[in-house]
Amino acid sequence: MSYHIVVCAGLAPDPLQTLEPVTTPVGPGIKNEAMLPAVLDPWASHALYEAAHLAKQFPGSRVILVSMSPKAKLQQVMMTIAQKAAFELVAIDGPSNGFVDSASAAEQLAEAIDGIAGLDRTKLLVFGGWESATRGSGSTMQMVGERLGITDQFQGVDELRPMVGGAFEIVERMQGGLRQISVCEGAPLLVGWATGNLGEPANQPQLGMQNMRTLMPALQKARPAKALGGGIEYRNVALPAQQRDTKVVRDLSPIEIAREILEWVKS
Amino acid sequence: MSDERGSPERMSMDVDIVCAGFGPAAGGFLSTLNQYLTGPDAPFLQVLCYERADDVGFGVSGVVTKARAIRETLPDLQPSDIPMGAPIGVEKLIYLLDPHGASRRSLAVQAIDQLAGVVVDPVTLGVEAPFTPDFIHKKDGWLLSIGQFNSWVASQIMMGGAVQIWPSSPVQGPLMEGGRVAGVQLDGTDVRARLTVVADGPVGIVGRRIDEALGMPAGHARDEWAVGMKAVIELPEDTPLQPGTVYHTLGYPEPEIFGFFYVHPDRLASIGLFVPSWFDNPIRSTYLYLQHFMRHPYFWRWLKGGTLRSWGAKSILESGRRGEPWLVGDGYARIGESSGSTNVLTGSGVDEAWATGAQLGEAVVELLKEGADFTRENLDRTYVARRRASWLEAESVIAEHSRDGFQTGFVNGLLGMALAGLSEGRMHLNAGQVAVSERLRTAEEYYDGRIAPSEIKRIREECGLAGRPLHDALMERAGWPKIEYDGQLMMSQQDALLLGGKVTAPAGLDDHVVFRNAATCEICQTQVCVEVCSGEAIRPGEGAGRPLFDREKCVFCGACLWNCSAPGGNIEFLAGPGGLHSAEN
Amino acid sequence: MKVLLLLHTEADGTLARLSLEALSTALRLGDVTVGLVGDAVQAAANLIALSGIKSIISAESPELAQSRYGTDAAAAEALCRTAGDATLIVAPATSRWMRTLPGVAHRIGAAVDAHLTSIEPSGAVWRCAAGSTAIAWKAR
Repeated sequence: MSYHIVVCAGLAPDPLQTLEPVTTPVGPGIKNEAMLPAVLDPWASHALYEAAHLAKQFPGSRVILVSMSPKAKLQQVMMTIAQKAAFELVAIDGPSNGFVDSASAAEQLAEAIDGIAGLDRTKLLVFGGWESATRGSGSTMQMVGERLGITDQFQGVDELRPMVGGAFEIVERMQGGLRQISVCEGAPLLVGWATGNLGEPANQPQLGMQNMRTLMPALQKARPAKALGGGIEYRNVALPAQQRDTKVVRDLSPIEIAREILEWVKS
Repeated sequence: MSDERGSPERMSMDVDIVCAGFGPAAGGFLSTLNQYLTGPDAPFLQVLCYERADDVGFGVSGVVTKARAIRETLPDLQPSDIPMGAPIGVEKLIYLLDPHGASRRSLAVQAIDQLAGVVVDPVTLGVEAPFTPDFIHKKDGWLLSIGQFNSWVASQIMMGGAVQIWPSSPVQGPLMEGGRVAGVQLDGTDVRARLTVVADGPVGIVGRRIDEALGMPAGHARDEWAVGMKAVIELPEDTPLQPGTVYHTLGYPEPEIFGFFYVHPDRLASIGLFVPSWFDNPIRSTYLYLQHFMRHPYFWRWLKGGTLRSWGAKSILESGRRGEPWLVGDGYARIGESSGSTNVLTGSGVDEAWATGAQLGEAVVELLKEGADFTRENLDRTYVARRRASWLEAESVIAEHSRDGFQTGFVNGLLGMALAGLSEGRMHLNAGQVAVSERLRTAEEYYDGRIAPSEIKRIREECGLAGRPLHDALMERAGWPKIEYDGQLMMSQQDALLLGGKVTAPAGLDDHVVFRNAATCEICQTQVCVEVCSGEAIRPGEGAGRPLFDREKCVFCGACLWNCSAPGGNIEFLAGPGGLHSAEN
Repeated sequence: MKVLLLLHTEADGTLARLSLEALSTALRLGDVTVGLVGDAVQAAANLIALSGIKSIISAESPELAQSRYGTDAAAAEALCRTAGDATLIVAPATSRWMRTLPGVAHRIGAAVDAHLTSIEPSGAVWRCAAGSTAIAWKAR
């Protein structure tokens, strides 16, 4: 048994940078986005590492990373990611700043997936993050699944355990810190990953070198994203206002402190 | 260096050319080589470059440059093609007076102050020199962000597909086989190469290990340094400053400390200082001096209300030709700052580093076409020959002794520079070079007459108990005003690390700064490493012993390496990932 | 504005606190129909009726006792189509709905978003995007 694992991943600005929204001719954007370093979306990165881990257990499997992101930034990110997992790349040159509505993003991704040569639906596992670090609506993957006709979908997944016979046991997060464990008969299925339990793989220079042979040509072939957006109109984009009021006290009981905080929150 | 070759745990890769470090030198080398490798009839080569920092854009430097070598390699490039880039417009040299009277000014400097006082604007306390000497001037040059420049160059190179540049890949050291360099060592992997290009900067470990193994040319030593530190500031909305404005400063916060202020597009400005190794204050906190510099009325009129966008620090090797190592050997070549390319008279290094890279690139292409091996002889007749015949060499000869005067004092140093600059190196002031460790005085000696030893003792004890460096307390006691924080531009050093430098380190790794011998630290009376550490990553240890090191604050400036009071140094400075994490530099 | 509020019952037939909060939000927006999904919804329906809501539609089946994309999506889609005149569909951000409703939005041609902090009667929504921006948008 082998699998064709398609991982959908956008980029996010490097989490340590200071972000500020701005208005651009094409709608809201992030100030100096071109200058800021980017990373592969954190949740989607976990999806990629899980995909690589699974592929190792099933020889003959393929891992294909599909990304809609600015080409130059994606190239930069590949130089970090390509040392961590073996994968093919399908790149769409488009924005990845969270202001594209998820329906448009899903359309681009699904179209790219449909175009992958030799993709076997009976082996198809579509992975992604359950939310992006940019748009953060947790809605894109479901639409990708719908467009591909996949109605076995799981979100907030931490574990995907292959069972004998091709079935999977899947552990999803639920509110209240609970877990839901499901059994799915097999591919095709769609998984929106949470963090999973794997650590970030260490850099493997040899793997990076091998990956580059296919990744660079794939990047060069990236097609531009087709007309995006149109579904929503942004009224306002701003940094959330921080309110901070520090008071140093001695000898107040926790109850009194809690009461003060509550008064402040309500005011 | 390692004797783990053949160890079953280490993987091994074979490539054609490996570079240690990516900066302007490797940029020049790989851009030049890339033009050949992506051209017609190019051979297929595996060319890899390993950079320590988490991104090739996470470096810090000024930068104002004549960009001669850069423009030669990239004739179509305009500074506006790169974010934060601008052509240089107004350029001035400013002498700053001390508003507080806290800096230490020799009689000669005081005389200059008196003269300046006659013409100075009492509000700004700065005197604009009527002209900027040619050897400082960057007329028709460019103002750039090194981070953005490096990112742009790397991106262009990689798009060619022939060269791979890997960030987050610290090189642990060279792979030495006798006198030959056979490649480099990464964590867990040996990368064997026909040619190793050593481009890892002034404090890079590959260069230093090669020097340890193969020695330096007679009389050569890396004995003059500076900490360069700068902040990138978003200026207030109503700023009158124009992009391309360049100010070079001297006189404040101390006569020995040169400063700069550059205005980028989009209301960004870079402001920074160089704290040199011949500045004898053992409590030399570059960060605190930078804050005082920003608060000087000449600049504060523009900076007030601004926001810190980025911050960083690096060591600058200012030994020039005197610090030049063996440029080539069997299987390796040295380029960039660690090969002594920085011109200390003009204060420029980026274009010079690029030039050495381009020269090596041309040499390598020549050897590839010949089908020749990368031996010392072959590299010598192609790379070194080009370097010696270039403007780089001619200008570095002029610069060679230009700064010797500073060994005996600031005004001597200025005179010496002027002499060398204006005579094109034919004349200079003679002075012997004194090793940094020999120059360092104790705080008691330095503040003699200003602060009583008993007070210094008290401050030492208090700071020791609190685990804090001495600099804030001692400088305040010496008459420097307390810096008021606004959390936006003026902030603690720790906040600047986070908000500005976005400094980070991955968890679970060994310390890369190691104090070798505890006993040596116990008898050290100065602990300059604690005071000078750009990130306050080195802190006083228990009692008078070995300092503590906090890996997550280290920006890899390497200042600790050359600020140790022990002869030969007691600090091991290894490679490791992390450090500065901002590309707006 | 006609609003469809989609709710599902918990394993024990009750409504979660999140669901009740969503109910009070919806009531401020306009004319609300509640769509209930679960295997035994009567108790929940009775509770909802106490709030004054007159229009309650439901998808009730033993299959809907389990939280599962395929069946939940089918049920929600059916309810959305039944309440076809609703211009705004609102739901609590339970893990069950977070998994399902974006797919349903695709099926019925609706725009979708999550993690809202408030909704205005005009239909404009406020939310916090990751990356620390707060945005307000409205479906065209």
